[in-house]
Amino acid sequence: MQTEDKFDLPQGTLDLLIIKIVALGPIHGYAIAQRIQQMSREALEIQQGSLYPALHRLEYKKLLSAKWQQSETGREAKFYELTAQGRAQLKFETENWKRLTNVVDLILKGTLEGVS
Amino acid sequence: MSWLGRLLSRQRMELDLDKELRFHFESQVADKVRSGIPELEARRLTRLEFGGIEQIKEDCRQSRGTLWVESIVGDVRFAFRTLGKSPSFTAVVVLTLALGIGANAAIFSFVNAVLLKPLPYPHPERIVSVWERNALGFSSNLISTLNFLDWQRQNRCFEFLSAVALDTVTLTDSGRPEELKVYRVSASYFKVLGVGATLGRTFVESEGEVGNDREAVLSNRIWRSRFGGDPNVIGRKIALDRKDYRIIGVLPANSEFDRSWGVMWLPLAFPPAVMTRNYHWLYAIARLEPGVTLKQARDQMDTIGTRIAAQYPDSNKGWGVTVDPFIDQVVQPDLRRSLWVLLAAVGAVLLIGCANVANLTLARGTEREHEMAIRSALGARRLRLIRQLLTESIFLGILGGVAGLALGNAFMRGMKLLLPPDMLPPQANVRMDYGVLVITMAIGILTGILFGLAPALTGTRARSLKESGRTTAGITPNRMRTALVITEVALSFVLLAGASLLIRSFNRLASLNPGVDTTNVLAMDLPTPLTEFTNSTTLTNYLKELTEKVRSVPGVRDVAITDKPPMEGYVNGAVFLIEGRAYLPYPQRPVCGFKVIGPSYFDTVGMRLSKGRGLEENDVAGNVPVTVINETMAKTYFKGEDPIGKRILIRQLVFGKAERGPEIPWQVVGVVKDEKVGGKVFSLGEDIPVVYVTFYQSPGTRNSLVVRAAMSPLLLRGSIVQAIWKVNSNQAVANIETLEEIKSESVTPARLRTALLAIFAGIALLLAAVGIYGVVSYSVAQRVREMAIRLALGASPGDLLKLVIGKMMLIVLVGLALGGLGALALTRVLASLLYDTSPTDRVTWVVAGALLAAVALLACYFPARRVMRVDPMVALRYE
Repeated sequence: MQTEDKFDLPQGTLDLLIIKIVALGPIHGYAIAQRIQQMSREALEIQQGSLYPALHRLEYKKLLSAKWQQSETGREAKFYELTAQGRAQLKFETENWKRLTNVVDLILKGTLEGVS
Repeated sequence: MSWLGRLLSRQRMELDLDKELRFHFESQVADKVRSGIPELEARRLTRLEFGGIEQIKEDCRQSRGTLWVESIVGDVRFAFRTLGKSPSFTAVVVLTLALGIGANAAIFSFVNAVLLKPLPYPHPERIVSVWERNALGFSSNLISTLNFLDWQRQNRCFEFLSAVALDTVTLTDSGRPEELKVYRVSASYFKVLGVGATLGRTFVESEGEVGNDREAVLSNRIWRSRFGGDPNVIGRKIALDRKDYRIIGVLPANSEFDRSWGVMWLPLAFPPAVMTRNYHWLYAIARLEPGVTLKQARDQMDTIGTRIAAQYPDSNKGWGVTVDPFIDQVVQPDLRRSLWVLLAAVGAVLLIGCANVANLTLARGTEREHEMAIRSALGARRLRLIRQLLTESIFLGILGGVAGLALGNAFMRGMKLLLPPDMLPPQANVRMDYGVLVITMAIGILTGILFGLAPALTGTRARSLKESGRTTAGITPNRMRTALVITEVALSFVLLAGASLLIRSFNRLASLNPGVDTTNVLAMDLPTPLTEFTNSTTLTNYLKELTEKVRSVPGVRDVAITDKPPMEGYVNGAVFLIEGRAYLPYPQRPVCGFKVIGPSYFDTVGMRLSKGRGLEENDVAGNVPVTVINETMAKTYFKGEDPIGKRILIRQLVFGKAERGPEIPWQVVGVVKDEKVGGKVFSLGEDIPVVYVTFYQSPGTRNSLVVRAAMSPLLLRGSIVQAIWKVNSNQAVANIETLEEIKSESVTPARLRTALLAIFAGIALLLAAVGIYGVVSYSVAQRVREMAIRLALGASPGDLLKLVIGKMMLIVLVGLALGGLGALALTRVLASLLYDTSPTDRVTWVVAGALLAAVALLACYFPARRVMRVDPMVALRYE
């Protein structure tokens, strides 16, 4: 588990993960971190130091919107929602990611066909 | 949301951010507690996991894009703290800048009011002054009545053309008779200016007619001081020269009319007595018709002038008309030039101040190298560092600007107190207005950039942390210091040379022998209105009686009537011809001063005869008209001849009329050594040919009294005035002054500009010395190790001293040479302000250069002496 803690996310992936999580419904920062952790089966642990600047950046880029709402514990929390722009971005980024992983897979698995 | 809106809602955003992170923190703690960890431990763990919460916040802020605005606020706050930590550096910088900026603000407020602001009238560019041009080419001659009336009738280029005559009247309303200075003006005068009364009205056309002219417009100042600001003053009668005048209007407050020579405006009417063509006594201003250019007006007036000259060759042959922009009459070239010179001087002082501050900042930059190295090691980009340093400099510049504004305001007020009232045109309202404020603050910010940029660029050059601890000075800052010293020395030399020239010129002017003995002589004006003396005999007898009465006052040595006191000019000029010489038509004859005096005048003011006799008591009307001429007259017009016995043809002044009578021969009976006639009127230095005649033989209504006392004459003031009032209780006595005072006043403009330039040059010299001192002490401190090695290798301390001083003096000499070139180009503009001094006066230049070099040497020597105390053992121990 220790080693997996230090799992480094490729640059820009965190934004994609956040958008994906937020797409499932309005959610606050703490829950996003937990959701990523659960969904990655504890492989990813998002630091607050990365999470919140990312959230604020996405809000600033108008991919996310935010409002204050009662949380499940009864306290007020800042809930993030996906904007239309964010939804389009999610679609675009998801496809991009898939293409990228395919290509990377190809190269990593591949034998050098055609070159002796 | 715009960045501005976001900045404004920053408070809110900060609260939200805090709340959001706190929520996260509490949720995390709650989860841990739920999994069985005790609360205290849960909090500790969570805090560890969170890391620096401030860092997270900062990153969030940064990702929101407001950072650059906030970081400026941060930079300023940081600058404030840094500068607060080095109060002496801050104080020296702010003081230097305040001095330079303050001087600039003060001088600029004058330049602004006198040279930059247009005249305070609607369409001031359409206002012109109109003069006669005499046959000898003098282009601003006063105008004769008939010529003026012809111009007025014939021109099609002026919307209004108005004549102005200066006059004095005696106000006899309130007990003591008082002399008032007044303007007599054509009815259209205020229409030319485009100014109306604030109370009542100004003149209407019919009031320029004889018999209809007993009305007065008051300046706001005299309305308040003499009439208590009473709004019911309109319609009230006042007695001027014992005639009733009705007050019809009051002019605007704080306007140029409150600052002008006269305090009242009366209608100018032309009685038959002044309907002449050869008595020149009027000024004129006019407003161009809309659409008429200055050139068109000049052409048209030329045509009219030529026509009049052809029609009346006796009086007008060779004469013409001058039309000039009014502004050129309001702002005399000498004043214009003085102001620009002073502005350039304070500009140079500010530049020198900037160079000094740049030097200080450079030195401080070296101290801060370590700080900069750490910052860039921590990831600060160079641009960011430059911006931070510049923020500091600009912040200092603004502080200097604010302090300079306060100082400049004080300077300006002081200078306004020192200025004689008639030195600035009345139209100039000198004050710290909005424009001056803006410019001053702009100068502050600009100086901040100017002195901060170079040090910021060199101070942030990438260096590794390792290097920064023990620096051997980089080449560039040293080269920059050299350049700064050269600039300072060069600018100081230009200022010093200019100031020395003015001082030398002023000394010559002030030590000029006025030709009269100024000790213990009192002068006063005795306005004698025509209304009181209808014929010349009563006036002559009256003046004689006054003279005798004053002579009997204990303590009075001698007393005399004169039309003007020494150094105050003369009332009439005279066109003359020497009998027996080739005939010249009247308009082409030479001109001399025609001074009307009592016979005792020469003795009273201490003038010496060089030939013949003086004027005597029996040179009265009916006897042969005689004249004593001055040496300039004798030298100019009687070259190699004995003037005694020669006769000079001059048209007679007709008593009570603005007219010249028939030509009469004045027999020269003596030659007197020159008195300086000029001063307030002409330059004091000018030598003017003058003929003197007695008031018995040429009585006039403009008279003054000069009194020589056996003691300080001001003590006799009261008893002299009482003696006069014993003869005539309605006699106003005005402008009581000693000859010493008159002499001093006559050189006031020269003294003022000399003093100011000398002060600025002094400041420049001081700043340059401080600059040199700083650079030398810095380089000595830097080179201690090198010096120690040289000592260890056998150099003597004296050698080292020579080395340091020699190098700096070489730089100073380069500066001197450059300054010399600059001064050569710039002091030429001083030429017209100099009396009897060439702008390239060798002695002055050598003295200025030597002074600067000596001061530079001292400024080098003291810090350089420290190399003598270098102990190689101590200095090299740590190597």
